[in-house]
Amino acid sequence: MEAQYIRTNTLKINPKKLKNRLEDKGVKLEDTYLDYVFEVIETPFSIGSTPEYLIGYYYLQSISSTVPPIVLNPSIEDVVLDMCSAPGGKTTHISQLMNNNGVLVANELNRKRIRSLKSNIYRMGIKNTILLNMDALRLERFNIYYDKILLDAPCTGNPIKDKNRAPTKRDIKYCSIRQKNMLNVGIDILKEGGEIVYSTCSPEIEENEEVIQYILDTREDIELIPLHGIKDNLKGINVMEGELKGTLRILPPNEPFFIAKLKKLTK
Amino acid sequence: MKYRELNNQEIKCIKNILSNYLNKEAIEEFNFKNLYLLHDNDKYNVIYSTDEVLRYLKFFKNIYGAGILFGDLKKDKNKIKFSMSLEGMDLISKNIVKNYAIINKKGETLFLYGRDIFKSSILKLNGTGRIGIFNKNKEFLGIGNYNKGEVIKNIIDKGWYLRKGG
Ligand SMILES: C[S@@+](CC[C@H](N)C(=O)[O-])C[C@H]1O[C@@H](n2cnc3c(N)ncnc32)[C@H](O)[C@@H]1O
Repeated sequence: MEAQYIRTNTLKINPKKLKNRLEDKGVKLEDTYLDYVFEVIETPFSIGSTPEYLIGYYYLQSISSTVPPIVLNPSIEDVVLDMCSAPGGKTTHISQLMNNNGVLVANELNRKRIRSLKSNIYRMGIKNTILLNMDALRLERFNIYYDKILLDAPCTGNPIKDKNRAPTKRDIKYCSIRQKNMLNVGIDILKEGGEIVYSTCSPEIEENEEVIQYILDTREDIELIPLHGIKDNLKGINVMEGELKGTLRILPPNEPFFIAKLKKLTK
Repeated sequence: MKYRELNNQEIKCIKNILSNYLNKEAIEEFNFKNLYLLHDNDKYNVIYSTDEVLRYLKFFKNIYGAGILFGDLKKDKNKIKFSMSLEGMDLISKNIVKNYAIINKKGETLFLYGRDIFKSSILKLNGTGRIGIFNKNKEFLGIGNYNKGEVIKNIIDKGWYLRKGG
């Protein structure tokens, strides 16, 4: 089974305090590259239904999925957009990095999934979000531009998440086209000098490097921000450079992820 | 949903409910300007958010939500009624000095499964009606209803996030 990690909700509790509390109950935790994220080595009960979880002290996620918000690196004054948010692992992480300040617009198309996003936001006491329920491709219609955008795009998934995963060439192609369109929209509503992080949990080149290459080939207002600097900070994660220089790939045993960062140029 | 600022009548009604739980100073310190009304047909959600977020609402046409849900207003002809949500109560929980109960570990476990609270689990009880429920660490767990007798009825508890929240 995939390793489990808990991300402390630093808006509600100090990480050391949470760690001690769970350890007193017999949970074995190990430190990670972030001082507020712990790997769950052993637990005598389901870690997803403790009082501490319900009180909103932590979020359960893979270590790989903590990386895109870290790469996004939002400040407490930013106006941030999360284009595809549910169930909110990254939204709640971003909000925590903003210390519940600034503005975080969280969008999700799927009516069912946006309910779980809302539930996680409420559970974790997140106050700085505006929730939208629409197709990310239509986010252009508002007269607002963002400092930072996360596009954690819908993708064909990965075998660690879904053992029976068997995408066809057509599925991959379909996702790839949608991802390119979404990234184009994201860049359109990015402020000049603003940054957008693109990520997927799919291992397919068509959904990752190819999407970024396509954007770099077709737009003149964008540049790639190389991520090798960050690589050294991701201790304990199996990470390497993507096929496209400057992008990141996280590999098994961690959940596969692709991450790239782009900056919009000033005219 | 559409949104607007609260009017005086609505604020007064919310103050009234808050006074069931908070002392005067805490009510005076409460940021009523961080409350906003989201409405859809006959649904009136009072939300609590930051100044910054409330300023940015104007950029959007139809929002699904903002901040956290503080409670619901029910309008009936000229009368309005406010009922505080789980998150609203959580927000003020640090300042609750009236109408609350503290329960033991066993009561906490059962309560978070949606059960009522029996007398044997109650460590401290103050007030009646809708009361805030806390564990021994004074962490807020949910809302109960107490009308004398042997049990505090479960109105809503934080297990909701798991059972219904998805
Ligand atoms: C990879 S998941 C997002 C995970 C999320 N960022 C997190 O960290 O919890 C992609 C999400 O995009 C949503 N989605 C799919 N098509 C969309 C569209 N056209 N516009 C907005 N969201 C969409 C899916 O319903 C799904 O919830």
